Amino acid sequence: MRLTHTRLANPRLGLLLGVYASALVAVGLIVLLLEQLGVADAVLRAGMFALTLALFLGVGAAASTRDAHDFHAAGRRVAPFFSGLATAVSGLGGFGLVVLTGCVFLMGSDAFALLLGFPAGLVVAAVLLVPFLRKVGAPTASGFLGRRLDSSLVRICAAATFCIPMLLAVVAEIKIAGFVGATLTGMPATIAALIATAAAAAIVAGGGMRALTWATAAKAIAVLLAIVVPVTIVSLVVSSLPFPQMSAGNIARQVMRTELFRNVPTLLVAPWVFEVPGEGLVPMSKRFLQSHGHIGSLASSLSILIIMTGVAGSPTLLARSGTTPSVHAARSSMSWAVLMTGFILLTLVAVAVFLRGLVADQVLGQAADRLPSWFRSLQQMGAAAIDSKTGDVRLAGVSVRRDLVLPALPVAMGLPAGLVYLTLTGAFAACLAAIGAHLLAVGTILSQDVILGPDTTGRDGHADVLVGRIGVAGAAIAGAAVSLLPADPLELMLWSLALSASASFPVLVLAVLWKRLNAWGAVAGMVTGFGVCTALILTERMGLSVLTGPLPAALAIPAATVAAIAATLMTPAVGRHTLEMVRDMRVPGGETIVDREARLLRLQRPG
Amino acid sequence: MIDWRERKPYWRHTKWQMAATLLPFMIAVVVLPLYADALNALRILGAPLGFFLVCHGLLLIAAIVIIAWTNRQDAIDHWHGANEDV
Repeated sequence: MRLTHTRLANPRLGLLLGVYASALVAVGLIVLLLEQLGVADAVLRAGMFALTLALFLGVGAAASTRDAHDFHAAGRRVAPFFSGLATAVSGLGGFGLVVLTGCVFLMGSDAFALLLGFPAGLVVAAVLLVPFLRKVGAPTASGFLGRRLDSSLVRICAAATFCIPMLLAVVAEIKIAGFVGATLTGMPATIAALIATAAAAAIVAGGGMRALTWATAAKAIAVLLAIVVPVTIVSLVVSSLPFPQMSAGNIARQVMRTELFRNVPTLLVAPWVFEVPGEGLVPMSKRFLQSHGHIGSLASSLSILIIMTGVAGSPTLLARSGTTPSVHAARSSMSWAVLMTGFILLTLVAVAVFLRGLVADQVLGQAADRLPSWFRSLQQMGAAAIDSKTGDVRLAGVSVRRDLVLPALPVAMGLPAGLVYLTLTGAFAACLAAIGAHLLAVGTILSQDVILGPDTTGRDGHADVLVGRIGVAGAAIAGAAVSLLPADPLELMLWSLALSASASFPVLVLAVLWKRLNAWGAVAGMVTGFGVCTALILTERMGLSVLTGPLPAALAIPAATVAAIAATLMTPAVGRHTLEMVRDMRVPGGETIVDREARLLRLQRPG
Repeated sequence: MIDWRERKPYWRHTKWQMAATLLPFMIAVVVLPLYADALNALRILGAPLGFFLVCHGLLLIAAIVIIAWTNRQDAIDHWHGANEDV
């Protein structure tokens, strides 16, 4: 017997998303058609940008809601597949599509130190955290900790430390969205960034988690089309096989052999070194399939583990756990998320490998004044450059812009401009999905955990939603303001992952696995993790430490764990109420804990 | 609904399942990339073996691990009567 009132998922959902996908394909085909008819390029770019943005906003508006249950948990009726799809796309975001592809191209094997943490983090979150957060059903990770430890101090402290990594991530995504929007339409990056922030904020402020889920499902279709269609065509042309994910391996081997033949140098750095390509044009310095040329062996292993814990402890990911109908559905949604993330990452690796294959095949060792025409297109686009006008081209002489590798592949293969715009639109959609997810998570933490608190006695659902909207708007304004400062999105994202790995992951895992953890332990863990990580990031910025990128978390995670355990053991044990809550949380069956509290409150209310 | 005496065995079973899922997976994710270069001389399906294992292999392992875990954890829930009444 179901104790809570739950509406079932919309049975026509597949049909609606099918209609939407056809509309999106139609937009793409119309742009291709108009391109052949000779319509001005600027019109096509602006049209593609405006039409797809209007489609996303339309889906978001159609899913807007004033119901608090819908706003915070999408009514707990999102099918696992869609929840997983949204988790994968908003988890990777524009960062995954644009920046990681560029990193794979420039760093080769070293980039797996950045890549592998994402699917691994989803696996860890699925096993250690998501089912238990789903059973509790709190709309935020900090709300979960507040309930689990029965303490408003923990809730406020968690809210403060969880917001910072999410704001860093939102700033990184806004910057990427600005760059991609500017590349697509030619407008200034600041304007494109503001449009992206406003659109993402409008979608989530209108319908909270419900609108975010459906708009993200819509964006996911755009993302999949954008990355799969061009690279599949390229794969067909290059290898006669329409599976770029598989044929990329063969191309990688050809790249390896060509680079060996051309005497491309190998490069080895010290085990603790962590270097990633910056924003501008970066020269390629080592063989594609040679590891530890930019990221040392120790740094590489640590970076995988830190990004893994950062993704697993990301409050944005955990906020989505409450949307599925049951604990079992939450587990299968994470399986879908891992599958989708794996598919997207494999496709992105294929994009990088194909472009590297073209460079190795047609640019490397050629005379600098007789380079193929596609390379000149890339130079005009600002995506690539060579250091000398004469002599044979060496690999170290070719510089490529990290964030333009994804659209550079269709340009290099001479595909129609419409497909290049399709790729850029998909990257922009991924940015929007990630911005929306982070904004909603920050906004909900601000409204539910800081302003309103968990006690819903005498509270109106509409007022709840209104405060949630104000929280989202506040987060959007803060994110947009900070994004005006100059910073590299890759660096911001790595700091964000390091901070969520050290501030939230240890305490969340202890809260699930260790019954004894009390409020003092949780506060000590979060404050220590956050403090140590921030201090190490700042000392690295001042040039006093060698722990670059996400590496500060390598010290901060153990520090946080030790602090949490020590503070718990030094303070009184938890009460019966908390123990009972932990035992209830660990078992999937029975009613969602937050919903049960709300139902009991409704029963007590007079009238 | 789970019998209250079943909660301890259920949680013990679940903890073992967590360890059996995560430990081998994490070892693979950390150790495999360290040896990728040495394996690149061999090839599989036309791809260098090291690249294939780190890229396709680990993503495939992640997918298998999580699907197997969903399945096993579901079986544990049913065995102890901890499953949801959906």
